[in-house]
Amino acid sequence: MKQLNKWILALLGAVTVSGVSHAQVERVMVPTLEEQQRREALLTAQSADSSQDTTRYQVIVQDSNMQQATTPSQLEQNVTESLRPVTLEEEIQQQRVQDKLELFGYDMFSGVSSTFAPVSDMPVPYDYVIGPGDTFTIQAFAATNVQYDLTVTREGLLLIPDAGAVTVSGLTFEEAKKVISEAIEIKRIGIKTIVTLSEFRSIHIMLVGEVTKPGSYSVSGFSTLINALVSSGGIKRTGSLRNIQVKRNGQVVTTFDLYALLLKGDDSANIYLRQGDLIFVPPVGPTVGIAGEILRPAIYEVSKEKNVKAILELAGGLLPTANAKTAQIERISNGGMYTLQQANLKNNGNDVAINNGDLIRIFPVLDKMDDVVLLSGHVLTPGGFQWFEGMKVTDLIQSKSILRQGAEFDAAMIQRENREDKRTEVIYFNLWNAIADKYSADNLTLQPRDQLIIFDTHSPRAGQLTKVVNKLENEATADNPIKVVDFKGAIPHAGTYPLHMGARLLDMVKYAGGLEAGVDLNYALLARTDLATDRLYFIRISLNEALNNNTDHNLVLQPKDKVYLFNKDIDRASLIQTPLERVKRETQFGQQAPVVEVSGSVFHPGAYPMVPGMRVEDLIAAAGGMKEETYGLAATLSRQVLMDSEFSRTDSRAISLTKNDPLLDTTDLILHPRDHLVLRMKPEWVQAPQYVEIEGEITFPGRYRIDKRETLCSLMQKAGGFTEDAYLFGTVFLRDSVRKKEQKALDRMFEELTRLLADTHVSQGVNKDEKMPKDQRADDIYDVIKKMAPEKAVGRMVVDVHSAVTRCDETSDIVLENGDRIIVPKYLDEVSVIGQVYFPTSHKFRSDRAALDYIGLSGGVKELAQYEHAYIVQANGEVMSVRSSTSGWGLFNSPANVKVTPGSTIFVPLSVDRINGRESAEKWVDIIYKNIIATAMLANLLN
Amino acid sequence: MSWKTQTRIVFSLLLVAMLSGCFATENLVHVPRHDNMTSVDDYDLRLYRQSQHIFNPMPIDARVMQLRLQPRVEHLVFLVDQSASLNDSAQGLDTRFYAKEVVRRFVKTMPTQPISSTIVTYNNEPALQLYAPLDARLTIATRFPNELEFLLSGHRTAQHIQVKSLSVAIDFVSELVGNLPGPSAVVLVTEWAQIDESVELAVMRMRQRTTFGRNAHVVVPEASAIAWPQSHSGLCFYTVGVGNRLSRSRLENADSCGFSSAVDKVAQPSNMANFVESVLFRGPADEDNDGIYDYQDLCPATPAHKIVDYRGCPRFQ
Repeated sequence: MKQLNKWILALLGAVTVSGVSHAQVERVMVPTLEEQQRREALLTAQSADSSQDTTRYQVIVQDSNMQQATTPSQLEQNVTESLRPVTLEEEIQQQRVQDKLELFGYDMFSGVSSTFAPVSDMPVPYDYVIGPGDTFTIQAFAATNVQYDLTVTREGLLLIPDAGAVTVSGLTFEEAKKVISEAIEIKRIGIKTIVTLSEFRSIHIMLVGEVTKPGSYSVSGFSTLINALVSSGGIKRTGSLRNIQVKRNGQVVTTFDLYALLLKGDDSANIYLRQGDLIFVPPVGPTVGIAGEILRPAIYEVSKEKNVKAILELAGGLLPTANAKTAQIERISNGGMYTLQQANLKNNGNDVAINNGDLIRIFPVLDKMDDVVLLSGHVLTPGGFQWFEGMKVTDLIQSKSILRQGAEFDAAMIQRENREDKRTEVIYFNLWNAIADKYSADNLTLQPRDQLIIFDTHSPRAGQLTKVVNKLENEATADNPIKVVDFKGAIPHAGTYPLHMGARLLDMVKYAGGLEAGVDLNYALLARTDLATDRLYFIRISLNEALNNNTDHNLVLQPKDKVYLFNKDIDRASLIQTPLERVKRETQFGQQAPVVEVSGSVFHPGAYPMVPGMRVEDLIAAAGGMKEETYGLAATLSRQVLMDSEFSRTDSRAISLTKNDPLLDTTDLILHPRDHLVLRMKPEWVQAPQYVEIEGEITFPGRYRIDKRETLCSLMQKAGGFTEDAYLFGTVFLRDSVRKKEQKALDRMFEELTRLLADTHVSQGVNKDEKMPKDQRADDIYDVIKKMAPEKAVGRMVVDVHSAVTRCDETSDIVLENGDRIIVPKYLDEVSVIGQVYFPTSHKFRSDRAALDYIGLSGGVKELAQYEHAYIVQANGEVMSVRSSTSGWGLFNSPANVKVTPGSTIFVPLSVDRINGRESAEKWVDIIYKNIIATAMLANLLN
Repeated sequence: MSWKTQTRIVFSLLLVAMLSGCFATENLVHVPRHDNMTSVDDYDLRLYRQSQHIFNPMPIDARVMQLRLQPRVEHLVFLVDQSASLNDSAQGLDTRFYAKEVVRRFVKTMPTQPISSTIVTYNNEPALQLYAPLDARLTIATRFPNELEFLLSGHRTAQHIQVKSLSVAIDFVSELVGNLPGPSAVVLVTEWAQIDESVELAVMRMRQRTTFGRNAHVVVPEASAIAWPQSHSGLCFYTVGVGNRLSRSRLENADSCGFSSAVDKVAQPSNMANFVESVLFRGPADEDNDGIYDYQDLCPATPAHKIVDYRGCPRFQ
């Protein structure tokens, strides 16, 4: 349709157009390139037609045409598709052609014609035949100029004043001019006349037959056949375009073939009409439709055309994308049904006859690249290349320079379409060999439509292979399973690989990146699907055997195989969990799930598939072997035994892990399904060695490794005993477990304290009449406590080291723990006094002085001091109150003057009652004080 | 017809009636249905007595032949506790009865071929005379199962010893098997409560006596492994406890041969067959060493380093 319209426009450009109104052109808002060209064509046509003395056709360009012109033509679409990157993908091509066809040529009349406007501004053709009604304008130049406007009478006479009647009807314009001029010039000598035709006569014509509006028309005498047809609304779609007859006086004067005009621009049969002419349009003749890859798909009326070739000419010829060999003709058979006739148009259809009602379908060529090879993957110039007979890999990859950095040389893949069975195949080859040696077997001969895929060493290959794997999956049938293998676990590029039929395990491993360092060479698994029953079974593979050319282990892979490779890190149990569960699921009545389990002291405890001939040692190998600490004498095997083949019981038996035990089953024992092997750890195996640190006044201080239940006494002997300066009483014994306990208690205490303070915030004080703001004191005490809070517990244990090392007996000796730290200080002969005294300082120890004496030496207690609550922290960490029972009660609860030991610290606390009225807080402060003192003491000692 | 003939007929009829009655009683014995799963405790005493007669041993001869089971031990010794402490009846039945019954069933289930074996019963009743001195006049001789059954009937007293305690009895057995050249299995049938520390120690002594020379302790490269003298003797020690089916053994030892069971666990024919098999035999033979037992192996001479299928044939040709 579109092409037809375009073509008409082109035609009009060549002929002429006068009636194109500017308004119609301007209606298109944004002129496209195509429209601009058309406009230019119109303009040139307009300028050209002044020189041409031809009749103008009045054609109105359709609006719909203008809009449709923006969509690309079939030709353009075809080329656009070819511009895409080269691909080997195939698309299914239905036998589709245009949805609808129209009769050719009738668009010419589809525009609504304007009134039949006589054309007055054009020269009169010389062959115009004068008839009654024509008006001549005659000017005579003499002494006086006269002008007559004279109309030809019905008798065909022109009545010229002073000259008489002249018969002009039937003459051509040229002849009439001459006759008139002569007639005047004869009568009046010396006169010059100019004769023009000022108005044409109207002639009456008759339009009958298959026209839109049949009837009698009065048209300008200047009209041609086409003029008349167009202005009268044209020919109906049932009318023939090829056999338009003009009858004059009962005789056919011309037979007009509109196709000749439309297709060849031949208007020789387009005659001027005369008075009384009858235009007869007979019904349309035989038609042939042509659709598909053709320039102008349409239904054509056939007159003299006998074969397809002629129809192709009518339709403008085949498109380049047309497949001439596969054309079809849909024909109405003699039996009254449609048949399909295959037409080979390679001789342009010269030998293919046509019938009325035929529909010729021209299909496009197959949208499939042939004789190409595709290079893809890790190369610089991927894309399609021309294939030629005997083409090799090295013809495609002529040098390594087209490979990208990091290209894999050990494995490359060719994806090939088997032309015979229409299946996709893959072939792996060694790229290095192929490039290095042109004559090596790896330099494969390529076939058309091969796709060469170059891998790289770093990125996962699975993504690159998805497409071909999907393709293989789609091609899989019941008896032709999907030809892929899976690699899982310890392999550089785990994933699904298309199977190169006949490849052995190690070959495929190489294509998947090769064996990794540290892969378990002793144990690998192959999960194979029985292709007949679709049941899974396992084959245990020893890569060691495979590398030693044992073809049993380096086996030929089958479709759907899954290869599991392990190393020391991979969690084997979870890796093989899925297939194992499948095996369990598939186990039927009367069978036992071939799964055996190992637990305990092996590297990878878990469930493993049982393979035929499996022994205990194989199970241990599957679990990655025994560990250093594994008990090497015996293990326990639990076996589920069926009694009367229905009642199961579990028997446990000892397995000797040594090779030659006369009685016990050894690791040669053949496993049964569901067996469970437990390997134990060596008794008393020391997982983490235990250390004790001893420092200070020791002969050999350092870090000592201890056995279980090692005591302080024995350690001291190992460490060479104490030096002379050692102050055993002041020994600091730090224990981690104690520290943790203390820390926990301390944390809990602070939590409680915080909660308590929050409580006191909300509750009123005991004495409600106190003027103090209720929160003030609580904040105060909280600040105090925060400042006093020790950051960390130290974990000091008070021990009597002296008796421990001297007596070495059960009551006084101490069992050491991991992380114990023993610090033996130097002898201290001083006593420190700190806290609420006037001058906190240290004093030399003298045995005749007691606690209160030292306080007195420090200037006595301050006013805020809580004298009776003073503490003495001794060098061994013991805290003693001046009023404690150990110190003895003083008279009437007054502080006693207790004896102190060297290295003690006397602490006089602050009277908490003085700064706030909260008696409960006193308790907490008390605890914290003690802790502070302990820390302070320790710092003192360690310095 | 004389009355004599009539009497004869009457008698014979009576006899037939009685016999048929007997058969009927035999057939009408009510045994709990799932006898495999039912413990002795579940049996009504009277029914249990009757069920003794219908213990239908599951002889393992055919199985031994078919599976080509390999003998595990050369000697078999039963030590059956018949002491007074077992006198207290369980459900009205002397528990000593259970102990003997287990051994009887064991013997009935054993393969018919002779095995060097003996049965030692012991009790500690002070009034009775000591029949066998501790110098082990008892010998272990090759016996057929029916001989063993005869020994068990108590008609011959030579196998009965009277000692103070179970541990002494074990020491006695230990003396017995300690001098034997080949490995032996000792099955102790006693009440769980009898097993105390002294019994544990006695068993340990017996094990030490029969086992020496293990080279597993020495971790050396295989090439330079020292060949330690190989002990041909050895001991598998089994305990069958009288009582209910819960094992209360103190004699389990993960490293050594043997295990503990309970009377109820082994009393039923199939369980007893399994017990006998594990005491007397190792696994079925596998001559071509392909991991498939010979009785399942369709390809008897598979070359080494071949992957086989469950029929013992090479999977890949």
